[in-house]
Amino acid sequence: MESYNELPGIHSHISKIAAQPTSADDLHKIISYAGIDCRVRLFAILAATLPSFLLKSEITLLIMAVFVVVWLCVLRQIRTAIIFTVIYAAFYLLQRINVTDMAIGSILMVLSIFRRFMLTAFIAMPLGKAPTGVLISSLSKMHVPRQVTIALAVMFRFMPTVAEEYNAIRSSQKFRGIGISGWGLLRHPVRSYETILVPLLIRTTKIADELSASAILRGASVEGEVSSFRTVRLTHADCICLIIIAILSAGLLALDLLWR
Amino acid sequence: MIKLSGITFRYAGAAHESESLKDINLTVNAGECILLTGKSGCGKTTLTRVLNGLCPKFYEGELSGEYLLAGNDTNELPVNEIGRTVGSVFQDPRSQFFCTNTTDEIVFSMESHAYSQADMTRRLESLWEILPIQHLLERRIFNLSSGEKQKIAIASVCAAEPKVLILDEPSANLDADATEQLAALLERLKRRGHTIIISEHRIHYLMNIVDRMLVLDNGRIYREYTKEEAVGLAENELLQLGLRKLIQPRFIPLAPAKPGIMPAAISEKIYLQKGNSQILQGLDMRVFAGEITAITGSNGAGKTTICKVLTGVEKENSGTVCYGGTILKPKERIRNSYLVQQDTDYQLYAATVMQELLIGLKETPDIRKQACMYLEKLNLTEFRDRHPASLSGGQKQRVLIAAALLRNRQLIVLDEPTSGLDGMHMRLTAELLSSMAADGKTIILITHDMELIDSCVTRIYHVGEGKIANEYRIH
Repeated sequence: MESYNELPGIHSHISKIAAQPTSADDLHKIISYAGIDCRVRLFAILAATLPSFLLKSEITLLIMAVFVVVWLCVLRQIRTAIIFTVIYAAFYLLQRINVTDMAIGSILMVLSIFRRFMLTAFIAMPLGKAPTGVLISSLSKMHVPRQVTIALAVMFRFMPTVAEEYNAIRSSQKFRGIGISGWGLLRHPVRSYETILVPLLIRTTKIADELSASAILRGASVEGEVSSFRTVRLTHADCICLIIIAILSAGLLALDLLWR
Repeated sequence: MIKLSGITFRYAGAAHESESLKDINLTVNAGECILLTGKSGCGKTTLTRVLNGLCPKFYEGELSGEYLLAGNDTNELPVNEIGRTVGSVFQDPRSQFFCTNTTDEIVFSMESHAYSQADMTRRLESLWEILPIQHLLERRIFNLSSGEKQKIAIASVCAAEPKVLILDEPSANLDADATEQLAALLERLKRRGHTIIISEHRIHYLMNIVDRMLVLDNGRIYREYTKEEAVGLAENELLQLGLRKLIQPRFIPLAPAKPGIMPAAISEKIYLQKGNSQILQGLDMRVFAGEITAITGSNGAGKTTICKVLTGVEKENSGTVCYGGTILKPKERIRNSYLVQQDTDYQLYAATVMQELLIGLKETPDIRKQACMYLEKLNLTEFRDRHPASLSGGQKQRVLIAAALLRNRQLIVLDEPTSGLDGMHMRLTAELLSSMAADGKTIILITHDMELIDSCVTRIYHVGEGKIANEYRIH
């Protein structure tokens, strides 16, 4: 039973209100964290990188896309899995269209590269969804330097914040009659850069500054061992998962060679 | 516990002779509660940063004088060691969260210092005794209300049981109930033996807890009062010090009466749903030209959403909004209103204050002349060529108001315009708003600031359950 609900969004937020931990037993439930270990999640990213760049045939790429969906479902990120499927399918279908126009053709080329990146990017998602404490402690068990661990944790923490700030900037710009449409963004790239990126940078720099000040005071820069409130260990299930991922990755590469 | 002697601090890059702190001498005994107050920019935030070691170890600068913490010279301690003794809760809890999940946030400092699981559990259970927030565990930090964020921020610092606790304007984003809860929590922490140092503008809720009140001015400790002396300060003395009042005005419910005049804006039967939660449930509201209407209500009651719908940033699911008798679509409302949001940083885009006013407008000599006039009116003329980001919080807010006036917007909405302002600046804002209302503008304030309401507001709407629950007047 996974105690940490990984479905993002309001739905899980609401459902969590009903299932809130209240007693010592519930603290125990949090401690006995049973998500797939972060080291497996990290390994999945590494194992995906090679095939996502080397695969030549369309069939093996499609098989890999199916693996991505399965991986996201195993980690209970159904919403992310659906988003991936929709975008990937859309890009795939776009590329089926026969075009003679050079400009559109080159855009489609970029799309096909983007489609490869998507594979790895979505396999990486579950690492960011892991509880921050678990992420830090499993990486430190692998002797990853503290600076790298903290940077990674901050990065995952920051993505929603940047999105929040971006939306706030865009909505407040409407009152001045600037940057209302997406088309306007493309037509005046320099002005958009100034009016969106500059305040975004000012805001995020300020938040990053305070965030690091508070993290340092709470010991983020302490070298040496860290502990984790949730139990972090490689279980048998994790090891089996690791082996399956390795086999799938190698299998994809082999199939690709065979069918070339 | 804490002994500061001759502490002087100047931020790196600041001009000579512009020290943020000058010759601070202060002894704080274990278990004492000290209140730091004074005008904006008086140096109280810098003093808290010296106390937790961030100045000069994080924010670089020149520090002279001696700071002894529990008998140790802090020059020889790394900043995280100081952090273990001195826990800090920052002004904006949103930006101090390191983790995406509340549980992880609370145990973060204990994990960093490699406490065992059993140890962490024990400390958490003892934390629940003074701060029972078990129900907030395992939530995403982004979905919490301001009051809940504040509790998580305090819990994440208190879990590691630091001897000294520093809080920088902890009530800035809290409603009246949450502020009372904060006061009760601080009292429990004090009884538990923590030494507490609070930097704050709103001082009324702290008077039962503090032992001493220090008023800072221009980087120096200007006055020092014992609790008894502080409570006995007369209103004009507080005014002179630029402080806020010690007693909050009270409100009594008002029987809703239909005024004879035509409302400037009406919203009728507005419903709005976000995800699974119904935010607005049949909101009916009338605001009037020449009046300042305050919208109050607890954190998360939907005050900001109401104003976003009124100004057209958010679309209602059903219902209508009229300006001056005509039903307007959200897009049309945006062009006829202005929403000044709480955080000014993301609302300023241009390279100078002058351009900031003109951005998005067709530049004509006439418009330029008007812009100059509004700059003059809002005391901004001397800053016309400065970068908006280099201004103070109050000045930035005035730039936004000037931009709204230049666009001749009838309805101007301000979200918490005085959170974090000292008494003097709060009163200046109140005067400005009153003069705008006198010019016939319709002004709406979302605010928890009872003093602001007391000094300029003409109508108070209390929001509850997604609609106007009550109308109040000041007692």
